[in-house]
Amino acid sequence: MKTPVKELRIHHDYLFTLSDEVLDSYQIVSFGHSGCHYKMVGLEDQHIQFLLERDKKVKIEMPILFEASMKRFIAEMQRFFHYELNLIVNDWGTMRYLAQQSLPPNISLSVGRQLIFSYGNCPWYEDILQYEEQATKEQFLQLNIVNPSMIRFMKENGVTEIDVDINIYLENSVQLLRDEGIKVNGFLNYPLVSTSRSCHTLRLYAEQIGKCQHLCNSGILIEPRERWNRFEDTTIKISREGREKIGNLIIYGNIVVQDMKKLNESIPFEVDSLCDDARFSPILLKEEAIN
Amino acid sequence: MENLKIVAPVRSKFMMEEMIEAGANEIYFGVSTPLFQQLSFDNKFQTVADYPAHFSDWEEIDDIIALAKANNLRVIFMANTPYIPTGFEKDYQKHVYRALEKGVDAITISSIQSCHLLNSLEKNIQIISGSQLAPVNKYGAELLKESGVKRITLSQSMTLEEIYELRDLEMELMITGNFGTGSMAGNCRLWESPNNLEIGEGIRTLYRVLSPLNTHSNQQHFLDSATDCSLCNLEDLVSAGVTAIKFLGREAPNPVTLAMVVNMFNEWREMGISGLTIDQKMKITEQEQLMWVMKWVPRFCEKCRCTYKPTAITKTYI
Repeated sequence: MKTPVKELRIHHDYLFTLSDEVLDSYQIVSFGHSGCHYKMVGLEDQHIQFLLERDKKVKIEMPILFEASMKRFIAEMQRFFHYELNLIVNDWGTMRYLAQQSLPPNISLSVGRQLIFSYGNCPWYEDILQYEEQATKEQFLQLNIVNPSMIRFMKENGVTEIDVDINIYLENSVQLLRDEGIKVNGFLNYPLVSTSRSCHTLRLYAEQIGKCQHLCNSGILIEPRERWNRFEDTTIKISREGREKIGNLIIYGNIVVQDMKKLNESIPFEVDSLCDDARFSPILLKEEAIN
Repeated sequence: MENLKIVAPVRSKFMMEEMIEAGANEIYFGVSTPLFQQLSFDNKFQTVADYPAHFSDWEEIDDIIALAKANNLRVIFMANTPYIPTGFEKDYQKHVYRALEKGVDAITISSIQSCHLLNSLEKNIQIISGSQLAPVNKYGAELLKESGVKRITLSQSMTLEEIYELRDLEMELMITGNFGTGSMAGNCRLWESPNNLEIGEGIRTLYRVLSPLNTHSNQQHFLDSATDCSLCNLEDLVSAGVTAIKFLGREAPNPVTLAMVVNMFNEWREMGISGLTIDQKMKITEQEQLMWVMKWVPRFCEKCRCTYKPTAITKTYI
């Protein structure tokens, strides 16, 4: 995949541990979390200033904001609004709210991966689509927002960029969005597959909510074993073939990603920027991320 | 409580008769399209675990509408696909238009794209937003209202306090009564495969942990954060502004059993209107309903699957 610009998305806690070599590999560095505002506690001016002083562009990903936490979270975030920032939103309500606030011109908006998807984001999409006609498959593998009404809707709300888990089928979607003036920030590895409001890691360890940020720094790798039947509340074993088809998943707090890494060369088209997500992947910042 | 509507799934005339008997006030259904093998214009594959989820013949819809009208039931047509590729937008509009011509009262959608497509079709469509488009805050709900939505299906992981914040929006609020997905509905791509009996909802699959962890068991339903029952909170929900409860299960293997679930909620609503307490309701149900003792209590109560009570799941809401 050809791309001139590289982005690194990390938890802010790790910023000052990055070597110059790693940092020099990226033009953009982003913080934040798409599912948990607790994980953003401790994000301060110093993190942003550190990057701006090094001529990096800075983005902040905002989580899905439920009503109970939205006002306080946005109020906390507003102290950063005098910086040149791109804010990534992950629910339409937050996008709408920010668009109505007459944001200063130094703030731009992206739509995150919680809102951008296609059937191709399901790990077993080939199984689901196997009997559809080829032309139908190809259409349902395009992004949910690649249609005139959604493009107009996003533009009306000031969106200039999207995050997307890239796969080989998205060439038409990416091209159309770029033709419309919407930038595409691609994620190649460990695609996002599920988000829950109840935190999986927190349930597992039964720790106190809000003091749990350390629990999801590392992922928990899981392998499917038994399918659940909704109506009978029973399970049946999944065969080895089925397990291979489903694949493994990795849990990071309330975020679940597919355990899958792709090669740059496997994607034959260009995006505006390519993002290494060190938050929800076992990417080793000192070694792999700079490749 | 008198105004709390019970919204039941239907895929056949038999199922509809069962739901009428169970006390449904509204019914909903989808119709499959020959354009696809398993996909549809709503949020269900044509078969789920080998059971059909749709009507396949539009002629049957005439009988269903007539039966609904005869029983004073509102009819909702499901057109809640999470997105429509541009090449199918016109087919989608025709599909919905056909349902409107048959006389359905409302259309459920699950994308802002669908809202725009339907608003350009006809101005006075009663639009309901589905769970895939469930807003998580007031601004999301306002956005749907501006898009022409009259009733919203709430996120299953929204708390009672949060629902209360939406009550002044002058929109109808609907919850899902049974079978939570365990994730935020619009943010999960671990869909059940219609073509493979081994691939169910990924969020409720049993998983084995491959990472080294100090847990008691290395096989668990790790992603299961679903909540399944709201019976004990019906009064609270009505106070918070909820006006309808929708039941999932168009694809239910046994419509009679599903109708018993619908009937259970109807009975509890009726007892609530009569002013009975939760304890009184439980005692009566225990005496009268075998399903309560055999299935409900062990599956939901004993496992703390309550949607609106403090449980291991709701206490870890972010």
